[in-house]
Amino acid sequence: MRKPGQIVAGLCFLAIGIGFTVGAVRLQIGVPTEPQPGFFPFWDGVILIALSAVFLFQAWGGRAGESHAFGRLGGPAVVVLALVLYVATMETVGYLITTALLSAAVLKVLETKPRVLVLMSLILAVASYLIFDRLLGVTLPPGLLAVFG
Amino acid sequence: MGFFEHLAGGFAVALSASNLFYCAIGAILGTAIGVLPGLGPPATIALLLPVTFKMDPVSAVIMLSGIFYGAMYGGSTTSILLNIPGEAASVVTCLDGYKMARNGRAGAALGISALGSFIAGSLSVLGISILAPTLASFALKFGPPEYFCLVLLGLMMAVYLSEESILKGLMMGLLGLLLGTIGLDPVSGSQRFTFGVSRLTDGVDFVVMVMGLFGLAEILCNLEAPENREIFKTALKGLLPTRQDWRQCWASVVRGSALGFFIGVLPGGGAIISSFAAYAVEKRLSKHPERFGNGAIEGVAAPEAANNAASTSSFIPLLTLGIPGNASIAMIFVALMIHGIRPGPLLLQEHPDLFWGVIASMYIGNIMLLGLNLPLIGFWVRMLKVPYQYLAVVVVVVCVIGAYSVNNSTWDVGMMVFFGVVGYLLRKFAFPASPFILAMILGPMLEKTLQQSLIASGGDFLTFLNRPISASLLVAAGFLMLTPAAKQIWKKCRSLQGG
Repeated sequence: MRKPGQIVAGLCFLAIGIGFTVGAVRLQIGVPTEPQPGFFPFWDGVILIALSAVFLFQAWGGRAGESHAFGRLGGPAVVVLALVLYVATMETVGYLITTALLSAAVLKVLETKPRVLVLMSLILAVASYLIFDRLLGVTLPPGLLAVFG
Repeated sequence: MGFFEHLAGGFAVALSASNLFYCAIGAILGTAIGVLPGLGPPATIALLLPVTFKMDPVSAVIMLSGIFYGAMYGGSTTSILLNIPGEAASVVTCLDGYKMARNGRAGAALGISALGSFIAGSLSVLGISILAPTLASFALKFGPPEYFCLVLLGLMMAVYLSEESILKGLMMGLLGLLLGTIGLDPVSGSQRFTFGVSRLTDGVDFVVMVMGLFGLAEILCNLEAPENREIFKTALKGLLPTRQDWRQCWASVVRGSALGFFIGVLPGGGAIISSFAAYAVEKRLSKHPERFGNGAIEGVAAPEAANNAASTSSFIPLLTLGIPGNASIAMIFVALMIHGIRPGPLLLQEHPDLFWGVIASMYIGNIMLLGLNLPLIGFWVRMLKVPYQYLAVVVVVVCVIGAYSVNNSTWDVGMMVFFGVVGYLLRKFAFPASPFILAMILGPMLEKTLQQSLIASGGDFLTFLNRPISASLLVAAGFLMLTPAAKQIWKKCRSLQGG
């Protein structure tokens, strides 16, 4: 059976192969006696393009091998979104607040009771801050809490 | 100095108070992550790498190694009691281990698993002590063409032995090689594929990538359908196997150890394949193969012995040739490089304290693990009762801090999230991660040795075939690639003849 996901995966590999091959040509390939920076990525890219084409051919015919069905995508999507927001705001808002909110998002997806969710998020943010920042010397961004020193 | 003097020197290093402490930490952490599904050894080692930056390199490698082989001990506990493998290498232990637990023999299954692992681990360490120095002195004869072919063979093995299709494995390997070219060209030093982003000048950070691919991706997969773990409730009595048990499975432990040791030595080989191979061998050799899958003690003893022997012997290609055979060993390779130590044949001469200290620590670590796994089995079982949401959220936060602490930068956290999503999609489409990781780490060496070989030979590709060692390695690599294709053609011919 033809699986659209496998075709998309094959197209991604093909695009990456083409991208690196074109980039390698721009870097200059050189000759075997005098290889240039583009030599190795060029040949890797060419082989990847060839293999991706074979894979796409197989995927089109429904012979691209196994793949695992997607389950409920809501959970992973919420956590990835929370992580993206976390990366964007961590420096300005600070580690403690953003980590507590990130933990709350993960626990919410895992259907944790509200009281446990709040308690666990706060404990985790504070405990990880104390362990990594104070004990192990990793400088975590204080953000808005910098005013408290 | 002879073998015993070297080993005695290694024990002097490993028995120092600090190294004993780090060995114990590694063994405890390894058992814990082996017991708890959700965070495997590569991600744990990656998470702890920043912690080791300020440590002595010998202590760092002793601790990280302990995590790796300790996880093999712990992985069997969940297989036997939950029918969920704590580690991929313990998948096959579920088949008979869980059945033994259901038959009221959970104690015996856990006991033989720990004792079998101990025997195999000890035999394997003995094997390393003898084989590694010989292989290292042989590897000193290698020039760039031999190294190129060896790395190529290692990558081909990783592709061949990956559980998914060869085509997918090759594509992942090539993707790893291409991503490995991001940063500075190893020969000319010019920038490649950095797109003006200064953060990419040193390439894609390997530690951050592994945290995403193995740590975050695992959590994202589990978030789709949170698992409902149910511990099989049984009295854990009789942890020491009976005489009858030993009579039944001592040969399986020895065979599993030997098989695991040799599979582990192969670049690309490892604990997962060895455990499956050992199970298959035992089933085939048994006079009553029908017992397998219904609680045969040999079905627990052999794979557990094999995965422990393999995890130990997989240090051989790293310590002697500088070639990591799997993702966990690749992380230890990175740890050594961060400390300015180049793994390879010269390691034995330049850093004998590290080489022999790590080997001696494995003897000690195995004894510690036996102590941790048998008397403390009740503790590990209680740890399994920790709700999954707590474990998941801790893993996410630790991944975030781990990525941030590499360079104190949110860029790395962003990269970790990116690779987490990539890892999640790769799992869904069944693309194997091992060839990708190994190709990325070995890519620069492959490129450098290829260029050196070509420049030295005046651009003659036949240089790889004109030298006996490189030619043999190349033929082996070619054989691995052509075997599956030849098998398919053979099958097609037979079906045509039959039809």
